Amino acid sequence: MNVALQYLIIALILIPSAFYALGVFAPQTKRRIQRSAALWLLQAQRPQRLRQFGLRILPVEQAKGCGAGCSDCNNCAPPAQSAEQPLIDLRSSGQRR
Amino acid sequence: MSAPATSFSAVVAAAPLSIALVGNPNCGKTALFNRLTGSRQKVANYAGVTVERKEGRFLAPSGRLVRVLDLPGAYSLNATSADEAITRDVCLGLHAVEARPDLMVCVADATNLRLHLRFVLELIRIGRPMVLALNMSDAAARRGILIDRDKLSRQLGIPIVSTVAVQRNGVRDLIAQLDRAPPPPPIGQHDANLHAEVRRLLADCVTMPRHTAAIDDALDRVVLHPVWGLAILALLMFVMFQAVFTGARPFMDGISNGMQVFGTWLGATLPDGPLRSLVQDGIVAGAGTVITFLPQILLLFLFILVLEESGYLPRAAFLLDRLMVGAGLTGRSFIPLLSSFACAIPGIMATRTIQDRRDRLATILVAPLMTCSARLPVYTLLIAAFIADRKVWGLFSLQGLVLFALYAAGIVSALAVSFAMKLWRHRRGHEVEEHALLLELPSYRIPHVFDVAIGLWERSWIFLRRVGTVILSLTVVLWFLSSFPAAPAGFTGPAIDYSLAGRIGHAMQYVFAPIGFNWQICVALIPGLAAREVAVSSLATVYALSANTEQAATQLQPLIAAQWPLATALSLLAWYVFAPQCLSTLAVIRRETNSVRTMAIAAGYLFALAYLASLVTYQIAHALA
Repeated sequence: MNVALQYLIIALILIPSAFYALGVFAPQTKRRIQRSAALWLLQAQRPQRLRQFGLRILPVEQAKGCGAGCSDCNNCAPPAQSAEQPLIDLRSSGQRR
Repeated sequence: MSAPATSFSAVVAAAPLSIALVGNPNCGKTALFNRLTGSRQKVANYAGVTVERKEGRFLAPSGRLVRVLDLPGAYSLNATSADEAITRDVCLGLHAVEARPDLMVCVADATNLRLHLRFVLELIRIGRPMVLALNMSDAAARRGILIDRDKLSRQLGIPIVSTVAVQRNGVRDLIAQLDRAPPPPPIGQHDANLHAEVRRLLADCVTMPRHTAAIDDALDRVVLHPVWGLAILALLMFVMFQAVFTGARPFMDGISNGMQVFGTWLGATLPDGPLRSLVQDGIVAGAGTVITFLPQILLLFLFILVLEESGYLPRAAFLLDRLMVGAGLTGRSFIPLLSSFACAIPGIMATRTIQDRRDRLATILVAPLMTCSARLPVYTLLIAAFIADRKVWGLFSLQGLVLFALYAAGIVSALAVSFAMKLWRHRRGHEVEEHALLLELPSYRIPHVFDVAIGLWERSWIFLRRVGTVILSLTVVLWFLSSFPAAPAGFTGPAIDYSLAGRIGHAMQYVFAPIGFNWQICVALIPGLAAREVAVSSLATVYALSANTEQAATQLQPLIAAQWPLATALSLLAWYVFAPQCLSTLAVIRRETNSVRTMAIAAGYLFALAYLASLVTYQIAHALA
């Protein structure tokens, strides 16, 4: 494998890792950087794909408390049910309980 | 019912029925919450597991969307601790964020109505729609407790359903009740004496052969005995740590061999160059080394989960109350401190159940001294490398004994620190109040295999997620810092010495040389701030990059055994008994105490203790060697 290609793959692994590590040591700084980058990408003159990407990386306001995904607990907390978690639907399986 | 024809999105978009699960601690609210919503919140057989509100949703058979709040247990609306205040505020509509629920589902332990009915009556006085769920009704039936539900319902003025939250079909009646129109608000009896009212209701509607279970009384006579009880507790802890070391060894060897084979295969598959170094020396040697400790962590949690489910833990708190009070803590500190054996973070959060502010602060400050599971990989690595694998008196593993001693050192130092805080408060003229321990002792229960299995699965998932996120990312970053800038042509010595990590490590050595740490350990301490296990993966990466042979690159334990003096290993063990390297713990201390100063005090005293303990250990071991 070409050495340049190897360095490209390393960069693709290293950059997200470094960004994640930044979030562990300095979560507020990471959020600020992420927010700035997202707002830059969301500017009207940017191509549609970049704007979509900006929307994806825009940090959302986080709930407080254990299991809110704030990373305060370093993944030690049990997972809480989030809005994205599938609902338990008892309409078609009412006999289950 | 035509409801199933309604589109799913329309149902979800509709305003949900908001219900709150309230009741005394340890009546099964969270088990009920999990059963209704499909969540997997932590449940255990003692009071104070839930210390903040949890939210979930489900779709009832009629198509009605129900939003469920699980609130911390409370004995009364006169809140005496931080967790009870949350319940009071939500029930009374005083909570800053949470609106008052449409319906309160008051959960009461059917085997202990003498205690639980008082809070039911208090909640009825609020005058909001309410349903009473008599939980653990199967256990009540087994004990011959007969409850005239209809009569009790008429007298209380609210609907009553029986539930068994731990059984699959145990909440059918409750769901059916929630699917109907909410009952009208009860008309409270505002002037009645609550205790007298409870006695009257019990006499009218409940037939109870005896107040407590005979088996509980028989077991408690032994388990709560001032001498036998303590001996049983010590034996349990001893067996636990022996088993953690010896029982997990074959599984750890299996994973370690698998990792070695995988590393060798990768080395042969990938072309020579920086990418192979990243994968082999960084990811496999680093994160792969940490994965081998999974069996030990699971075995430790197996013991903790079984003890939690059995109902033994509050008894242990009761036994240790005298010792705790003598050391400036309270018996209520026991469960938060025991939770800290898993991780200091839930332990610190569990201190919300401690009413006294000073007791709570003292418990928070000593909780990081309990040996969390993240320290286990560090301990195991060093013990396996430096302590002989032999039997003591032909029975006990020496390595297991050393592990037990390290855990004991954490406990003893926590008691010593809290005692020092007590003395300091006393000298400053602060009144040291002693609070009598009032603790509800639950019935003994045989742990449910399924619940324990789920608990272990969750711990595995949490651990593997940490390996895949925090540990992996920091290992990759450390590999980069240890590989670049590359050594120029003609540089004598290992290339890693020229790298950024090498230079940082050498600079830090000025501070850590007196305690015997080499530059590789110094480098590992920095990423170890994120999570303690990262210190192991970091050491593995740094040594893999320094190693000359391929086999050495995948074997950290023999490498450090050959290169470190015993004094350094003992010093590092002493460091990890005290060291505060966990930013998350410090962040939670700040959040729970709302004080940067308290967080700084915690970090400062733990660092000072760690340095002092390592210095003394290293200097003595060095002199004796």
